[in-house]
Amino acid sequence: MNGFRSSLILLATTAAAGAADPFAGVEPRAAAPPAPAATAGWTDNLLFRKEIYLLGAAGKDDFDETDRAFSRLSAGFEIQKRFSTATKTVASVNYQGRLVYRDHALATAADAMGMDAERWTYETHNAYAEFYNVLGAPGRFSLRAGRYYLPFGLNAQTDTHGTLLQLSNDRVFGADRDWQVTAYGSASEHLDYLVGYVFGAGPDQKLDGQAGLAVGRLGLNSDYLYARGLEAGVSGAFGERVDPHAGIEGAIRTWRLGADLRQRIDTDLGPFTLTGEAAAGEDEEATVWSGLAQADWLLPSRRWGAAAQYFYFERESTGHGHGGGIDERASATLTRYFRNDVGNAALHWIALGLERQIQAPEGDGETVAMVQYYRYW
Amino acid sequence: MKRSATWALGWLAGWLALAPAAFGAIGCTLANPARDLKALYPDLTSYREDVKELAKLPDGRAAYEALRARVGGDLDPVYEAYDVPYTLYSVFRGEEKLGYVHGVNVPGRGGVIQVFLAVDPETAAIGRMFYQRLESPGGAALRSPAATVPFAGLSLADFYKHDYFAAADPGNEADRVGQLAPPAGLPEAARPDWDAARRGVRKNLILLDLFAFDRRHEPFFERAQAAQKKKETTP
Repeated sequence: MNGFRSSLILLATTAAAGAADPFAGVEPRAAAPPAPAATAGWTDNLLFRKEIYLLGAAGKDDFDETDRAFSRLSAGFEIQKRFSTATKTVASVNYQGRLVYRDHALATAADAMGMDAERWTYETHNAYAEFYNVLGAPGRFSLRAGRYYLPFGLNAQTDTHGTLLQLSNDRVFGADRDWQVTAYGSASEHLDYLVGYVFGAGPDQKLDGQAGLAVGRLGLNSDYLYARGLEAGVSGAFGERVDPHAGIEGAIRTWRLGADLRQRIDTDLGPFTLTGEAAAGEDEEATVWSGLAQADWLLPSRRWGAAAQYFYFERESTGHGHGGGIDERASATLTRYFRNDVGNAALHWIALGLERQIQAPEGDGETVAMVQYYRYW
Repeated sequence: MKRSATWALGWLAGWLALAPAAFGAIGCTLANPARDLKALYPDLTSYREDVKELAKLPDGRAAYEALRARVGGDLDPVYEAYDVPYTLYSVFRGEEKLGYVHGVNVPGRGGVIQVFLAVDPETAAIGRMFYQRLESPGGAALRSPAATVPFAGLSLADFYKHDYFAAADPGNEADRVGQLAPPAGLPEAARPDWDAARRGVRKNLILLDLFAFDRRHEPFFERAQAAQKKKETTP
């Protein structure tokens, strides 16, 4: 109908104007009156995703000994809801959880939460509320409360839910997520800050008399990421935490200082990304060192990717015969993506991975082969 | 053990069999909306984020096909799938709406190109075009004002008109989009990224027309189609 009407208008107009301007007389449609805010339903700005994660892994030595491979099956979901007035988005909530089944779990960095998990576990990955622009000019001071990535290193700005290669915090703090209250915003024209109080509850989310930690990061703002492909920051943590893998009972007096750097290099072959994280500190009197170097490549079509990582972690012995040791690993992955949305709204891939445990608390020299299926939609 | 594994697989199969989710997740968003929007609109006092999804529209599939037709070519199944969500930012000074800001992803030769537009809420014309993520060896040239400023003032009507002029009357002075040229200093290898960016602006305006402007530019699309057909059939 509209097409027919347009054609009539076109014929009449072109006849009158001598076909000089075929768009003469065309006007934008009158806008419909805006819908009243009250008609917004509860599903507006409600986001929901499902997730499946299958992991199979076999250690060469372990398989020779046991004839068994590690399998992990999980299914989960993520839900996010934003709350707005007519002119302002004021808050949001986010929850992501997984039901996980593990059989013959191996101590691989690809599944740090599996080290001593039960066969069946329910894992809460994210559970937080955010309150935007609470104080000062927009962007200066927002608040997040709940369970989320630690505000230390690159973790808080990296989605590692589905990747085989994790960043440093799993080893540096015993867990890469914790319950916390964190403020974030612009510190200056060039720098953003993240600073908060973290419970220090460790992978088991346990309160055992620890005072918690003050943790924060000061880093280049996102202008550097988008204009130069550069992310960099310094982080610090001070306080008490618990960590069943540190070999120290109860609250552990902890401090950490860290630096991180990530540089994307754009090429005709697709973006290459180089990542480095370093941290030093103490658990009680035991000195802790950590370093991570990673290189990633992604085909411009986003259908193939590869990555390699080297990770080193050392904790001196506490002098009580517990907790000392070196964890040194090198890993590589090759991924075929079926869906790889830029904003991580839909992900679907199969990845092959290889991890060489150069020095590990569980025994040196093990090589673990992995295959992973991941879908998030 | 076998029983547990069977139970697990059964549980997963049940989960997989659930109907597709009715909602979406994270879209093409500004990394730091408060700061970015303040830079675009210094008078801003507040902003509102709204997630827009074709799948949530009453006839979402038809809207996706309409997007494909109006972009003028296939949509990339990885970058531009049906279930990709979008975030529309509405910027306010008090109760007054100052503008809309909206971003899209398009595939470039070197990877993703995120094209954002700040548009006038009354005229729907571009106030400012800018990139967020730009994985291109020609990134510096593409980000230069010489490349982004010429987009200011254009509206979706100009892109629809360009369809006609490019096919039937190249070089017509009324073809404002046809006058856009790649920036000086853009490496030849990055030329496809310039074309991709221009396509991204068009796609962004089409989606804005759908999400914020009640498809007000449809008469220009229909006229361009009709005019092209008429030109083709006229000896």
